[in-house]
Amino acid sequence: MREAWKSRFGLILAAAGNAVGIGNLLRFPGQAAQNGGGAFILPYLISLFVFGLPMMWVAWTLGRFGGAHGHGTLPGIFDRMTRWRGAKYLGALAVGGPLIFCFYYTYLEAWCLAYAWFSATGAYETAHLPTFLREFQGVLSSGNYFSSTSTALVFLVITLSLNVWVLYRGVARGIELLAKIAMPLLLVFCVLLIVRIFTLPDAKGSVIDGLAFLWNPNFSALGNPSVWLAAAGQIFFTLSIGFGALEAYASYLRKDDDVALTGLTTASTNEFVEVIFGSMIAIPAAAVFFGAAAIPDVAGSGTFDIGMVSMPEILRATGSATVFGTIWFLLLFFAAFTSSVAVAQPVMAFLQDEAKLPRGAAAVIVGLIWLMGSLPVVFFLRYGFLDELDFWAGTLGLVVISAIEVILFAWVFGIGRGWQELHRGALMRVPGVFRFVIRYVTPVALMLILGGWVYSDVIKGGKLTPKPTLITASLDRARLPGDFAKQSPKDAAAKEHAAIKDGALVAVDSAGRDLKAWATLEFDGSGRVEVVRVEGDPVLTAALPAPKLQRMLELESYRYVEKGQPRPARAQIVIEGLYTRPYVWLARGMISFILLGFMIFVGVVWHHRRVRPEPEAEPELEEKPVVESESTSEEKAS
Amino acid sequence: MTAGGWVMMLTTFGVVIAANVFCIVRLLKR
Repeated sequence: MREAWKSRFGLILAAAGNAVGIGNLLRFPGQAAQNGGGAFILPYLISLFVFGLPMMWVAWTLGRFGGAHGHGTLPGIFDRMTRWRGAKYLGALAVGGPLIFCFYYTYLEAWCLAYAWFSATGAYETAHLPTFLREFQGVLSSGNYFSSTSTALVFLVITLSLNVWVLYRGVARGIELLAKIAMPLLLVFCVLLIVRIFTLPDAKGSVIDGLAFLWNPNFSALGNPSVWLAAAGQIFFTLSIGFGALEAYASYLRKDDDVALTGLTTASTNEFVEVIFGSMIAIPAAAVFFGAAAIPDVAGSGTFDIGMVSMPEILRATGSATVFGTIWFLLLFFAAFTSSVAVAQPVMAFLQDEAKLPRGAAAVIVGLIWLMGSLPVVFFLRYGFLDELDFWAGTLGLVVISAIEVILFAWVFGIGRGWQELHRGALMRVPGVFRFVIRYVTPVALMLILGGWVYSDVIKGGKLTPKPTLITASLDRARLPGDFAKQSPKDAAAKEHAAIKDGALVAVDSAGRDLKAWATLEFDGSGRVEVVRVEGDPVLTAALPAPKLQRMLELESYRYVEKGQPRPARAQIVIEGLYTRPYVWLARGMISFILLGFMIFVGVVWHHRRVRPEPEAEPELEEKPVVESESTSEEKAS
Repeated sequence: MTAGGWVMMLTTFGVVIAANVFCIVRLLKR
């Protein structure tokens, strides 16, 4: 007998917990900041109506349909809704894809837990935060704060164990209970942080400057395809569309339980946390502390920098890192926790429904694969391993799975039948315009997005050819109190900057291995940096000699910022050229192995069924565990 | 913050809050 939700309230909290994650509080402000603030919001809202809501209803409808036939994942669901035998293999993408997503998402979740611990214990009280983060992640190996990734690894194991434990306890006693605890906590934490940030004294700017940065409309950017791609990508990521997780959650409903209102509630709650809370925490805080003009640069060095570098910096400067830093990172951790268990649930459901494994065995198997898949993410993070998994499983994969799903729903299953299925037991009527949107607009728009990505990343961006990376950020803390400030070069300066950098990268590529050098810097009276010499690997020092590095730093407006401590006379930068090719191919190999593995698994399971047919798992709905509504449980209690 | 910015922000917040209120009321009414 399949599992079931204990109450509608619990289901809605779990579904909201699934959707509300790191994407709402970290990725949304990061993406908005990197894509021009007000320019981002309009494409984002349009994407919500074109992809977000329609896919949400499609996923809930298909999930409940599958659950009624004993399938919680897309291989079984696709097989049930079409006569085409190949459909189930496409569905396998929505089992392997989310698992790959879990491999790196749990690591991000572990960073949040680790930073909550660091905040509570004051570990980064005097640290240079960008260096602290990069060393913790193992991206930098300058050894000022962390000598290896062992700390990160410990937090990963704790996070992963918590996830597997919740999955092991099952849908009602694990996932639903977690949501009932985590979601109210999350709301309280958000409110506390907003109160703290809105009572910060104005420094370089005010909270209103931050809101203005995000909300002042900029219609000129609507013609920029990369902003549209980023906005659509954010909608998929934040609503957990294309992960197979919504379908798995919906499959634990009864045949006549509502999905229309539940789908809308999930999206509404997610948008409440993303648009309202997400826009009132990190960006206004950054505007107060750094000024609104600096926000794109603050967020520019990495999607998570605004949350993991700027926020601790701001909270530390206002003397509230211990309390509010802990709250901020616990908030992120709980948001991520309720999402990671959801994204892992499709694999659990697949092993239970299709391979007929008991829940405990499924949890152990998922946990072991999860750990094995996460380890290369930890060890090879600096080689772009996580980014590679994120591009295929967390960005492109979501659109591919959604495109297959909506086309099968609207054109094979049939929009008429689908619409009827959506409205069976519905507590609301979905506006008729969405029938048209699901049938025509969403599939076409998804194809355009896919085409856009292929053009911008594969054809124009050369995404398929792995490139080495250059790290020029490490500062020797022992001799350098305070901070550096730098800005991303713009226009002509950016071209010159890229030309110098490309020269160094070509050197790394032709050497076919990692290269390392050290640059000695001196500061003049105004804080301007002068490169005295570069020493180390001869290939790198030849490609990036002192005058070229000097020019690069000038183009980045690299300068020393005093923070109440005397400016040092000298400092050292480590320059690392990383040869990423083997690791990028390793990531692609792992993705292919997992996806192909699940496709073969699906083939074997279905073949086994044909050879030895089981009694059909057509459920007798009356005998399924009853989903108690809040009112009925109250009635029982009274 | 420009007038357009305020309109954009408050409208979006309003729609999101209205959607949440609609969902809560419908769920409670059931």
